Amino acid sequence: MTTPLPPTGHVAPRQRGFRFLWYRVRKSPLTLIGFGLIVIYLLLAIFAPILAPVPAEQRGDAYAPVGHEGEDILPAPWFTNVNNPVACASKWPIPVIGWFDHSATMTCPFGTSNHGADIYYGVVWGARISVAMGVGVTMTGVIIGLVLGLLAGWYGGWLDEILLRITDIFLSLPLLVLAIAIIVAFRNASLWSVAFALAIVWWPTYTRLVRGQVLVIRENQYIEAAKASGLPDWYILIRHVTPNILSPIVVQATLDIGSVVLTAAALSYIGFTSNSPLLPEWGRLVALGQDYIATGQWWTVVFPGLAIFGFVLGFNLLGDGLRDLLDPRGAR
Amino acid sequence: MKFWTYLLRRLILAIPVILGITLITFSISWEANQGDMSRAYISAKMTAAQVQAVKEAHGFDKPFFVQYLTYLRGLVNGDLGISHTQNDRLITQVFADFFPATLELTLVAVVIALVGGVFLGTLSATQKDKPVDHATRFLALAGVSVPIFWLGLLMKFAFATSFPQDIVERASAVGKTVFLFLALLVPVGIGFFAAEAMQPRALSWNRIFGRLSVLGVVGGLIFFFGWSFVFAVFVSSVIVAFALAALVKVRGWSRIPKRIVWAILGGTLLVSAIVAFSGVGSIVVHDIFELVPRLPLGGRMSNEILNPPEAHPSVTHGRTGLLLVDTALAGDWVAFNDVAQHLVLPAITLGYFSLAIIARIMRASMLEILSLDFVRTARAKGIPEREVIRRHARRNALIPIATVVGLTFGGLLGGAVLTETIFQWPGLGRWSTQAIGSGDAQSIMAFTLFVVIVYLIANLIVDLLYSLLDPRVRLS
Repeated sequence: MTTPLPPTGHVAPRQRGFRFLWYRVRKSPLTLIGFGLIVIYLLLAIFAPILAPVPAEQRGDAYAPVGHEGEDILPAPWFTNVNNPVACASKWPIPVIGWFDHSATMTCPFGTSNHGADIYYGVVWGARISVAMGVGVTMTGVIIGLVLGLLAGWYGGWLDEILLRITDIFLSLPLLVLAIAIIVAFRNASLWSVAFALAIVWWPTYTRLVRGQVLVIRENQYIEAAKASGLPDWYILIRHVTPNILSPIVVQATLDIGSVVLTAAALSYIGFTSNSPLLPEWGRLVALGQDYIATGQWWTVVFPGLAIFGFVLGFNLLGDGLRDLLDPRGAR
Repeated sequence: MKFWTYLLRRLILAIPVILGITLITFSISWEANQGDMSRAYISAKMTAAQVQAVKEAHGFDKPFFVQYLTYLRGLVNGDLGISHTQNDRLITQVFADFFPATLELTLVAVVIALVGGVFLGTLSATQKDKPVDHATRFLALAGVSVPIFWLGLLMKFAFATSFPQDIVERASAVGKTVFLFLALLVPVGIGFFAAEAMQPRALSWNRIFGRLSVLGVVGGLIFFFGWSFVFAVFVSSVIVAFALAALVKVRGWSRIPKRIVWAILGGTLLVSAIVAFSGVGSIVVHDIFELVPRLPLGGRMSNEILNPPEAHPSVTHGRTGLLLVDTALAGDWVAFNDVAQHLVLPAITLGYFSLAIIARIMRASMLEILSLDFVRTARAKGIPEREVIRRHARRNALIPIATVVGLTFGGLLGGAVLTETIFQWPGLGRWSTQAIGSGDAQSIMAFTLFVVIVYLIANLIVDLLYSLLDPRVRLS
């Protein structure tokens, strides 16, 4: 049997590195969709001040939240139509074909809430919070998990035992419930306490993952060789072990950015991020809008929720795609 | 014998986990109360001496670890403290009240997730890379990505609240537009047909039938949509037909400039759009809105069921607390129907996440099994494909699902917090959010502890079941 030659000029990239990864990603549409979604959210987060500019007079004290740490790092801009609440108050002004009775189309494409808050502003600025929350919590978890997992897997012994027991406890708990319990202990509803609680519950996953991988890698001959040539342990761990265990961690981290944001949104919905309606967190926006859905103001709930959904979907799609590429045997 | 040693081993191994968790929950509770655990027992009206008495009676003036040990002793004796949010009742009593509701909701959700997930996973695997597979995979992916509280709200909006009038109107406007375009296809089609018919060619049966079918279509349109509509369409059709036919006569089919065709079409579309439309679309959309079932907004049963209280004793004084079971046992089908209707939305909302996970794993597991030799042998023996899948493949693919069900149980209980809050379900989850709202740390910690223990037990049962399902798995 002969295999057809690839068309001339078509050269598959080297079997390693980012070029190759990108080459494979291009072949799978779902992964591409996920990637595209993530790019959109990143752009939203980066260009929020351009996409949803806050008038200078609204950046001042009048809308600066009081007493909630975490909010002062972000502007609270999404009451943008306070000056002109009539413009699109409680309407969803995107015209369907044949329905042109509304003039406020351009000012608030996602409608406004009962407070006169512009949902579009909330969605755009919320992207910032979500990206920061997802990436921040996941990276914290990865770093803690990497350090502890490397040590536990490499040295074993009592450290390994203790870490195993601790991670056992954490992994035998539903994350959402544990995070709730931890935030309650902070006695302080803020974005930071949510991020902190999520970081506390999320590191054990990585520790276990890294530890398991190290146990496998440790048995390889190149590690033996490195040991025999007298390299210090830390050097072997960083230079020889870590690069070889990164793939499953990257996959897990990608999936987890989505889950972190999903959980954070749930916590925020319950009311843990802030009591202030000014914080543009998506879960919070859903919570603020939920009372009005019964009276037909569906956009107050639908658009922020859609934002969460798209964000998490994007990372899940990309994570799944990456898993198929990097870690074919690990596919569940 | 092996079974019992295994069970014993697992139970012993669970002890440090439970101890660790009690330590965590107690320190969190301690932290939340700023080191003063007496807060829940003290009211503002008490004098300093009374406060001191309460503190001494419960040992709240002792150091952390002493209090922790007291707490542990209380736990062993079934004393979890009191719940501030429930009028200072004992937490164990509150549990007894709320637990059946949560259990019922969770069980129905598990059943929905299992049945749906296994079905969709099998379907997806057997139809790999076909449209059904893609649709199912998207459904599963959406299930793990959708915020459960948002889904619940959307469910309520779509199936429980009555549609707001302006939404119906707006949707009717959309329906109008859609129907408009559909209707515009009719004159265009008739026009082209007529132009074709005017070609100088011999009359054949085909063409006669063609004309008759046009008559049939026109008749049908008159029957369904009324005269004025069809007349408008007919007029515009005739215009198109004559214009096209004239062009064809002059220049031949292939030589008509495209933009003239488009101009004629556009003109007719506009004319018929303005003249023809008399609200057919909006009527249809209205009817669709009427068809969507209206389910209860929340709660476990309607007020009519409880009023008068003695009308349905199975609801108020059931033996199990699981209303579905109680009403069915009592044969009270009116109440059963009501309770079942209240369960639909929350159970689907809660079960969807697990359904998605189960569908994904079922698909993977099924694909793996389908590639194995014994499946090929079964097919080679001539067993019909349906049977191969039902009896050979699916049974084996189900084994990993057992583990997943155990693991999703934690997620379900976590999700119950959100679902119960949204649907006003009188269960543990809603109680915990109320406790969160009023900073009642004691209750939250009790809830956490409860969830953990349920989770551990569920996973133990699943592991034991696993060894029954798959004899290859050794208990060790």
